[in-house]
Amino acid sequence: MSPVASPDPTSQSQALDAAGRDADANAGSNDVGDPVIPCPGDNSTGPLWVRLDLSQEQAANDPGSLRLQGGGYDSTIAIAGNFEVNPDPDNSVDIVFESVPIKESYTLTYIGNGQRVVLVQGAPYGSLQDDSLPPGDVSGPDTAPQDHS
Amino acid sequence: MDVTLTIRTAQFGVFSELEVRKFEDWMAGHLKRFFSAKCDALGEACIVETIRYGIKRASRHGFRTRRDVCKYIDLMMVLGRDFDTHERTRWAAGILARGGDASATMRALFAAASHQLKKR
Repeated sequence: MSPVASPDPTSQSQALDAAGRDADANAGSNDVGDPVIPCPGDNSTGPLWVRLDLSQEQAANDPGSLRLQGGGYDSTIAIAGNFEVNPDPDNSVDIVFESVPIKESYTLTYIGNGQRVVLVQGAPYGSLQDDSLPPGDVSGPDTAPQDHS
Repeated sequence: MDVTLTIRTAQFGVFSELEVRKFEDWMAGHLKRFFSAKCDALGEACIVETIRYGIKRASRHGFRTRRDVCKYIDLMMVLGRDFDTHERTRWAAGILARGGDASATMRALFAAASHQLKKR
């Protein structure tokens, strides 16, 4: 998206200031999504993002898929064609699993080039909050360079 | 071709999808009110996509509250979708890189953006 094309930059500034005042007054101070605490019978779902340290070009040519399994959920997404690009300096891509039940535990597997690599084994959804997993939670070579070409 | 495949599980949401949808609806009305010309140009579907992208980008920079995320998306509307990484708005990346309290960072971003817009 390019910046707003306006002939009068002052009005952009004024619009931004007014929008900021509205945000202060009306947006609220809660988080965008209130944390959901799983409870018995809770059928809530949420998205699960898996970030891959691949460039856009690498992801587009990656032959592999990611499989997320847990409870009754089982979804396999081909990396090529199903990623969202994080621009520099991230230089990474995201694969998104939608509507993942939050009360289950999940195993994430990379499938490609005739190999299956378990990246996360039996991790509860709620333990995956961070953008990195402690090594102990990962049974696959998550941090080790891996040739899958 | 050797490819380093490093997997990090970045969970954007242990969030209530319902709450996120409510925020998206409120945010769409907010944008239409203050950036009507831009919203007209974007169209309904693109507005929603922009909001979702903004929530995601804001989250990456540590902005979680509705107030701060709203302001982040406001900045996207006037500075450009990728103002956090774009060369033209390098000053924004500098502010974001300082870290610290998210709301203080947002106030600094807003002040700097207002200053930059007035200079143009």
